[in-house]
Amino acid sequence: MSHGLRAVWSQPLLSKNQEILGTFCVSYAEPRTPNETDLRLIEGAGHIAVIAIEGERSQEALKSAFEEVRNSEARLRKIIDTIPTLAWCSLPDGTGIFWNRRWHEYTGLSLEVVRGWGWQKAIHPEDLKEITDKWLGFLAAGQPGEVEGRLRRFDGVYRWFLFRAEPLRDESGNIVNWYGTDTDIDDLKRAEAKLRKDEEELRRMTDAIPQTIIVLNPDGRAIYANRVALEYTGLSLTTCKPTIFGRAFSMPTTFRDFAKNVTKLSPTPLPSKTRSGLWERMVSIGGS
Amino acid sequence: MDFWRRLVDSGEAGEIESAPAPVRWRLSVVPVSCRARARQSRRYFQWYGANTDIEDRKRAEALLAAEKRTLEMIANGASLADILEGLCETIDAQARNTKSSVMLMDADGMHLRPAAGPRLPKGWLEAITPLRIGPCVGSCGTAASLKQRVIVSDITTDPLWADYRDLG
Repeated sequence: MSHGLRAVWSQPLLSKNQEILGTFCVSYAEPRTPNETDLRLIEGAGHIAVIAIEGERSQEALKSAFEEVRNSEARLRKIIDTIPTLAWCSLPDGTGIFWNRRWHEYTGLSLEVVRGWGWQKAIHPEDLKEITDKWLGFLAAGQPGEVEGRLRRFDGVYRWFLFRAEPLRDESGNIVNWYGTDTDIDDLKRAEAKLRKDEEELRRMTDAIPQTIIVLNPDGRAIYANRVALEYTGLSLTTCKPTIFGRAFSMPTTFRDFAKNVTKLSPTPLPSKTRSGLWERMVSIGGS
Repeated sequence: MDFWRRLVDSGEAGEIESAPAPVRWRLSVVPVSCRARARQSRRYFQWYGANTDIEDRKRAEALLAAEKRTLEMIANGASLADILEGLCETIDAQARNTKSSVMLMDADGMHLRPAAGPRLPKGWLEAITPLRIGPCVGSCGTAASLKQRVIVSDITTDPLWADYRDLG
């Protein structure tokens, strides 16, 4: 009894679902038995304590829920800023509200500048109308869509991008936000252009060769014939392309052999039909 | 005695509460004069008084005061520790000789820790931190374990306090 306690009454503090939260306790220095009023007092005080504790707990729960939301948002933000693409988000009416870090880094424009419709400053003037019209079209239709255009880099260089937009809907189908990615396709565009140029050069070269050249794919469809070949047969590449080029101007019986040999990728002598109707032997290169 | 002198001087009825006695009381006195004239001359025939035990009512008031204060503190966003401390202080101030305290359950559901107990000796609070609950662990450990009120009128004789008697 070193602490001078003699009578100790304890009231358990129970939550609404009968979970034990703690105890409310009164002590006296002398032996003492409670009367009705005493019991009412500790019961009442216990009730007040429960209110305080449960209030605190729900506050805590709310706080940790907020914390959780903040954390997951921070995680998501980090992912969005890290993905190797430019990403953005807008309101249902197309007003831009968010661009990821890479977008800002690429364009060198701050959120204050591009917010709303300010992003249009980063679009190449020649592409602005098409992009804006298409974007308004996606918004009106509520359907995902994509459009190509040039986006200005922070140093003033325009690069080709594929702009993709996708609506996010709530349970009742209303659009909550639009999310989009801008993918750099400049290298692709350049490669395409180069390929087209190379092809043109090759065509000019092969057209200059005084020899018929026909390129067939493995099942015998013509994918290319040079000018001499077209002039010699009187066919145009566009009309014969869908059919089997060989059949269009080769002798039917020999064509079968030819087709068989094409798959073996071996040079095959093939009799051809000229404009004058004479069969001539012509060497074609079979192959893909 | 000041109170009494004031009454005698004024000749008015009056009330006073509390006194250093084990039970609180209220004294109500009413002057009764035999003649109206006597009142003017401040001479009275008799004083009538009544003592009322108000201890129970005081406890009910303590509860009301505690409730009011606690709700105010909750509304003001006070911390739980402060709220519980305030609750105990209010009860202790109004109900005589009472040392109230609150223990809170750990997240493990097995241990109680003192959260408030302004009048309890620090050494005692330290000695019971943490208090593992059980069917025979003083008053609080047992109350928490059984989820029932536990009244120990005298810890020197109650078996629930067998292990804590010397400490209490």
